[in-house]
Amino acid sequence: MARYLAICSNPGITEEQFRSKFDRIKKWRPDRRTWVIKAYCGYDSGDLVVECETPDKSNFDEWLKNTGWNVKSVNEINLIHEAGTVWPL
Amino acid sequence: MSIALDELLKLEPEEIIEHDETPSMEDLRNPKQIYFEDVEVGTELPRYINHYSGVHFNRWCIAMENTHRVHYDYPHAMNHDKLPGVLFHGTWRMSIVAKWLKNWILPNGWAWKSSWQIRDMVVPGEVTVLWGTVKDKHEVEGYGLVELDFGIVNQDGVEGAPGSATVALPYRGGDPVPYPFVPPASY
Repeated sequence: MARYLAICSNPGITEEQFRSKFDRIKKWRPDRRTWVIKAYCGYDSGDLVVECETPDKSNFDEWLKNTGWNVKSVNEINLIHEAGTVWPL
Repeated sequence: MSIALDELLKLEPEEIIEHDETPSMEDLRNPKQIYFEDVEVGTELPRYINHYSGVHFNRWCIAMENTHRVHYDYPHAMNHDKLPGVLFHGTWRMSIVAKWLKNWILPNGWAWKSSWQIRDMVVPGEVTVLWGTVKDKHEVEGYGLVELDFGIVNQDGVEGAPGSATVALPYRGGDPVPYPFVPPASY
């Protein structure tokens, strides 16, 4: 398993459009070993930051493709800081 | 049973919940006995449909004194154990299945045995449907045995806990299933 972070863009995105990507479990857990853990969305910039755990990056690439968002980059990440705790992945 | 399971799972999650058949406390105070003669192969049991939040998970942790962090600590579950979220407890599923069987056979039946597997993770926000159908039935001396297939399927149709059970039901006009229950030697 590996963690990936995608930087995306979708100017003008609405809450409804954002929610539509996650409103069923199967949408954010497309298979038994792939899940889109977190996604951040900014209305003004239209920027999106999306975090995914998967054994195969192509699974995340496919998920991103289906969103229709403009994908700027997808990179594997190794460390996370969260409220004072650092998690090596 | 007003809607087939496969049709139920085509509905939106909030619509699925409306089909919950969990008995009320009043129903349980005044249970209506199901007799062996009332069930046939294919008879469906009441479906218990739930929509759990992380607060429910925490409550079960406290009740069970189970402080494993996969059940309540999101950062630990996701970043250390690489899970999609905090996880529904296996012991909780056991409890729900036992309660469901017990409620169905009250007051004079007996939920003899059950077994199942945990095959998928349940995280907060999922809608779960506990379903069951009668697979077979057998007459023995003093009561009837009913074999069931059951499972806990999520809103997207993923079966997470397939299992089977055997319950004892009284015959109509017969005596209650003896307590303590002694399984038939020949079964």
